[in-house]
Amino acid sequence: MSAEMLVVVDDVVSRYAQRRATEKRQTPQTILSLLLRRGYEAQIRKLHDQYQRGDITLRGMARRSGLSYRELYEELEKRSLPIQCTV
Amino acid sequence: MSRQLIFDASALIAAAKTTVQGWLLPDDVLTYAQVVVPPTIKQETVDQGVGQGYADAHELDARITSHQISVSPISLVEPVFDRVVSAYGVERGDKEVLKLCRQTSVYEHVIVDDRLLYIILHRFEMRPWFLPDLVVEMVRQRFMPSERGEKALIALKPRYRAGFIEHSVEQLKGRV
Repeated sequence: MSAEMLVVVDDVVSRYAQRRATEKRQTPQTILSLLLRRGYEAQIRKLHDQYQRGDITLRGMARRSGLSYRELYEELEKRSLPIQCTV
Repeated sequence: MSRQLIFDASALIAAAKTTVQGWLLPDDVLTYAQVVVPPTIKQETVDQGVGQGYADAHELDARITSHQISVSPISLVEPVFDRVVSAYGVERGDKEVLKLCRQTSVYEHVIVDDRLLYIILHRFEMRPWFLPDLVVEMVRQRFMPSERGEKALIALKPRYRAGFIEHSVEQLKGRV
């Protein structure tokens, strides 16, 4: 499932997206969408690191990710990220 | 059966996704002890999961509906305990697990997978165990055949950090 959102980007990001779009024969919107996706994945991994360190609980990670507990559990499984942590 | 276990959501979901030799792991657990969860854990494991069509959520729902797994309301009112728990910055479900342990004196262990929650439970001397620890103990006390216990541990392996399942398998064989 995807959703449309209006996002304002600064000049350097816009120029990067246009340049990459030309190189890859894609639209700047596709390039920006890919960048956002990569940023999101990096954010999930950062939160997972915090969870593994014991800075936050799995529920804390779910809240910060904007997901329900169950959605987060399934997302971690999809990414093969461990749900159980060392102590 | 008087023995009780309290389960956190991730351990319960992991158990309910594990079937070995035609046995769902929670059914082995239910031969060993009564399982009790607070209301938010039921919401996270069953209500959120059934809505999205997860088979394990339906399995847990059936066991809650048939009262094999109990959902226990939280009645504890203890401002100092609340203040100490809140200072950790944990969430509602975490607090309910801690409060259920505080208000229920008869449980044997609380089964969790979450590092911060495990540490807080340990600091309150609330007897936390990881799910593989429970499997090893069920085999030791002959509530589960050793072969099925080992297969269950191996099935759980992708969800656990390296070393945990290897350790549990050796414990199960009595070598460590």
